[in-house]
Amino acid sequence: MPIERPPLSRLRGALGLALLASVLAAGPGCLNVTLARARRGDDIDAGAVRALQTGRPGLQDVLDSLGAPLEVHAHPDGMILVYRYRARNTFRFGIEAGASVQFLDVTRVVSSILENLRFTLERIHADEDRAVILIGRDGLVKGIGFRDPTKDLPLF
Amino acid sequence: MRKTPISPLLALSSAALALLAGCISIGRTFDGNPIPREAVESIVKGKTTRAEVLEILGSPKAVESANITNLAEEAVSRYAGEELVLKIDPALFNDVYIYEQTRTKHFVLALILFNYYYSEEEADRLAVFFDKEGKVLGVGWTPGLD
Repeated sequence: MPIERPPLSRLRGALGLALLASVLAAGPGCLNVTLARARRGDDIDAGAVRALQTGRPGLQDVLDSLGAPLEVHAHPDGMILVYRYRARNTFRFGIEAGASVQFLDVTRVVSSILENLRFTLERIHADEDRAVILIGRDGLVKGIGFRDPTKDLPLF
Repeated sequence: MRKTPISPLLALSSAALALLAGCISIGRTFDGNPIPREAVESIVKGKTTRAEVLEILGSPKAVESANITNLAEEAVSRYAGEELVLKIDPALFNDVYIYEQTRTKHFVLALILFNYYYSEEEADRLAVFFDKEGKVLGVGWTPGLD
């Protein structure tokens, strides 16, 4: 007949195990989760870009709506203004078995193998919003290219 | 001899404390000279000259010029015939002065099990376009640090 353990003792056992697992996993730093977010540049106002129309003036209107471009290129047909906003989301999960070797009673061979055992899962989502405006020699807007994928950039 | 029981709360707190040990770093890095708003507002399209812009704002971070060689190469690359005569027309702009001050904000939370990094680079950016007479053709201002 199984002996029923008192609840407090069971809880204590579970906590002990959790503590041991935490120390084994966390103490030596063998298990790690990293989240990184990086943003670069000034956000491009999608509404302002959509409000621009081809065939209408001109350089100062674009500058008033979108501000200073990141790049300016002279072109046989006029000039190209480029605006960029970059975003990068990184998720990294790593297990480094070697870090816990010091806590284990293993032979040197096993220890050498474990020290080189490393697992890393990394997902990086990077993209950029980009607006390209072509201003013709007559000073009119000749073309508008725009994409803003960073708003849908996955976090993980 | 009876063992002294470990309090579950103490065990849990110890585990939590062990996992929460780490560090936090918060910082801001500025690169470039500040661009005073009054200076930007004092530039008048069609009136202010290149020399005056230099006097008001100092030396720009970058100068972009219409490169005749690149323009010619671009035109040639599009041409499929046997003979090409290029007539160089004055470009829409003569050159562009770029002024910029960037600010990089970073936040780092480094714990034992979990790390979080955040960095954001923004900029005050001013682009002043000049025509071939050396007068301001257009002004683009992005107050990204506001």
